[in-house]
Amino acid sequence: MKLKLMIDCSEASHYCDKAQYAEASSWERLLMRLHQRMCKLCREHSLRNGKLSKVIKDAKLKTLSSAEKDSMKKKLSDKNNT
Amino acid sequence: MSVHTINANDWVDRYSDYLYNYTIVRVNDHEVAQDLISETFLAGLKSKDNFKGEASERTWLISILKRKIIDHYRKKNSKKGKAEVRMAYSSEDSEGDWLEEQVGDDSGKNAEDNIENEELGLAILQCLETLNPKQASIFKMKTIDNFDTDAICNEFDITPSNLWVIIHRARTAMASCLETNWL
Repeated sequence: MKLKLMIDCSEASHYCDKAQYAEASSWERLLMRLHQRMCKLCREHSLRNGKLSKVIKDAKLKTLSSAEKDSMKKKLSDKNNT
Repeated sequence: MSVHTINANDWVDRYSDYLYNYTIVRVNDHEVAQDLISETFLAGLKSKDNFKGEASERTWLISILKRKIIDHYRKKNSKKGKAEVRMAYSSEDSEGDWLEEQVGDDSGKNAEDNIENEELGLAILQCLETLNPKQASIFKMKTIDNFDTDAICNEFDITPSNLWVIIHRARTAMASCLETNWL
């Protein structure tokens, strides 16, 4: 079996996305780095993608749970129909 | 410019998280924040005929919410006496240990950081509004609520590769939306 070491940009960016959620395997991360050695665009994309992750993490956003949203919707429609 | 119209059914999906993040830093109480947001939506519904469409829906809702928050503090302040601070002393000897008691908590230490964080958070949620609703909720679940890929796939009945395509598009859109000010 021949090992596939070369990946294209779309594959590299897919692994990069997975890496943002710590879901890329170490093999995938290795292939990604290898590709980025040769590809300036993907290096830049990866940097930007990482910054986006950091910014979202830093914002410490809170969301309402879907149950809480549903009860809010119910309240709204109840009042809307009366 | 498109004319803004009201669609109350989408309100909760579109704006509740934005309003929640706006409120929680101001009232610091999950339940109260939820009540205020519900009240805001209801007040919005009641006066939707007054909505001139000059501002965006979000801006309009925030202006209602601001008044609700002020009212909340007015009500709270009018219950005088409840705000009285009582100190419990372990023994009579320790009474009057003023210095120790007067050390402020350090919650206000990073006031500037907090303000910046809030602006950043609201900017992110504002950018999320530019995505289509399904894309936005999937991105939110994955990135903000940290749901498992499997869980999201089940909920929306999509395959993992569908999910990653959606995430990729959402991330690209979010990055270009946040680029000028935050990245």
